[in-house]
Amino acid sequence: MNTPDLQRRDRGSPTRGSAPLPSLARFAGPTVVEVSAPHCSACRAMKPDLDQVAAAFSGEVDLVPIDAVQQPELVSELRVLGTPTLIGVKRGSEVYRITGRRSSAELEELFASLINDRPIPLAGRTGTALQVGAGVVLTGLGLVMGPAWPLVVIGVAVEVYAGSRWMKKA
Amino acid sequence: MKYINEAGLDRIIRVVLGVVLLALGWGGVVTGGWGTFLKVAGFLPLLTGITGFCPVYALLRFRTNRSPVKAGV
Repeated sequence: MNTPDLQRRDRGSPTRGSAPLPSLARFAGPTVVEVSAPHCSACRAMKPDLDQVAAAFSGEVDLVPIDAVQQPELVSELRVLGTPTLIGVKRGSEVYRITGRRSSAELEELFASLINDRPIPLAGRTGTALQVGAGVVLTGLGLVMGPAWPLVVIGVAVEVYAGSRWMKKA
Repeated sequence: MKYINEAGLDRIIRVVLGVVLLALGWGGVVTGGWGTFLKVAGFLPLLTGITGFCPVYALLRFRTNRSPVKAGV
């Protein structure tokens, strides 16, 4: 099999290390691997924001774009299930993996987390809003209807789940 | 790794349905056998909605969000 062709956009050269995914082990510095596809509308929509954030972090975090259609073997090796997928790599090891469109602010958090070890938001804002909303509604209904304590407990559990997903250490 | 096979609208519908069923069951609006049924059944759409993952979709290799990456991934 041919060696996957990873074109680095910003600087540096690949460096080998020990990691479960050999394709990622070559990145010594903080790197975001972007897997996208031409048919993916979310990828196209996120691209301008991603390029802007990558430019802002130029010299600190590298962005490595991968076309899933042109490099299917590499995508398979990276075990990517959907696009767009962003894989955060630090010292040759994967530290996070995000699938789905992210806002400019969220992208900044993802890039910054690689250089300052801050927690990253794992869930998208829509998903988190949905979870928090469901938790609040369940809790509210539980308090109003009776009160129905099982509903309150379920609501609080959903809110705790949402919170744990939102701020989980990378 | 996080795996999601439901679209946003799909998740919203599931969560709303789950909340309604649980509220009807645990809130005492529906009692008896149907009430017990709703108390349990409401968890299914709620949990699949908030996680974004439907096991039945996965078994059927179906998804309502974006199309998967090509090349057998």
